[in-house]
Amino acid sequence: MQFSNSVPIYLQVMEDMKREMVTGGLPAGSRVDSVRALAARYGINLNTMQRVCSELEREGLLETRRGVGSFVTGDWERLSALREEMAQTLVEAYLKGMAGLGFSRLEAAERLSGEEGDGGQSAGSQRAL
Amino acid sequence: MDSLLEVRGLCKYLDGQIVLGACSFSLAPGHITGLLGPNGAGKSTLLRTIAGLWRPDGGEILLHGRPISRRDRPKVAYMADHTLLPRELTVRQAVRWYRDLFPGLDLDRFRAVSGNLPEGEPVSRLSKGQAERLDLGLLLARDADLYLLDEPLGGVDPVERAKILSAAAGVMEDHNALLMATHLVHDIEPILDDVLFLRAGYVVLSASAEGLRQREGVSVEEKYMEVFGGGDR
Repeated sequence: MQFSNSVPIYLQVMEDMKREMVTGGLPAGSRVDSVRALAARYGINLNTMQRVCSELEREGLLETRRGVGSFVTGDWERLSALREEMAQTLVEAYLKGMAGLGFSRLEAAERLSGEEGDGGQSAGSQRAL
Repeated sequence: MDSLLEVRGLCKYLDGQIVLGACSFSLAPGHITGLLGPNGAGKSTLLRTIAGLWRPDGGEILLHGRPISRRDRPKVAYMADHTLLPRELTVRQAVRWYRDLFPGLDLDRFRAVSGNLPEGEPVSRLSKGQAERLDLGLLLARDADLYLLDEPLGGVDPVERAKILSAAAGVMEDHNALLMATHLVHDIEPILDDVLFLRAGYVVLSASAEGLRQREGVSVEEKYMEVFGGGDR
């Protein structure tokens, strides 16, 4: 994974794991690798990876069972709420980006309905933030 | 958190010139710290002095809160920027030789860091990158409290470097710390916990890498350019 320079790495890795959780790469209830293995996979230090896991735990997305390991929450409602939160973030980023170019909310919304079926747009506006 | 290493007012003169002037900083256990600064800033001198190869001319170096002494030598693993292994040995023999010097060498760790090496080949015939992987693998396989690396992996390509650095980061435990002098700020940034900027023998910045990104919105590399970009080279 390539990291953006100026955003704390723990936030970037959290984002990546959240995306995996809502897209099925890390399904509900599945076991996640050890902190050590995850740190190696992301190429980051253990302390940062530890922080990612404890923040995800705090958000109710990971559950650690002592002596067994960590698991993605089995709570479907929590995961669908996460998906909503992520969608909301994208929408806000889009609207903010459009407002920055002088488009009103209405114009921004109309623009979207004109782009129906094109999935590439929102991903692009998120990256721009 | 108690620091694993504490350096207080460390001074070092070489040929009548001040190379280190009252350096003070500490390293937290379990942390990887990048020692960054332009050529001639005193990075190698600092590492050599901590490693006990040179005597300080002033100040103190505390390991686990006590002045570091000769007896602590085995707990401090130092790698210079050149190979120290007998060059005529094969890789396999060199590993055995090193294991005799440092009992308790962790061979799994060695393999994780060094990757695949031609075991029957003499050390003298290894490529620059292979020799560096061998050196680093052996050093990190030692059971030490403090690892001091001087410009590791300069001869390794970026893809391989990232892989080796991840493996190196995996060596860290709660009871050890790693201090690494490097120019490869960009590649090494993701595995750093903390950074120390050294300029002309003085510590000009001591900070957490995530803290820089969080508080100032800059990467370590950008901060480096900001601090040293003004023509110090």
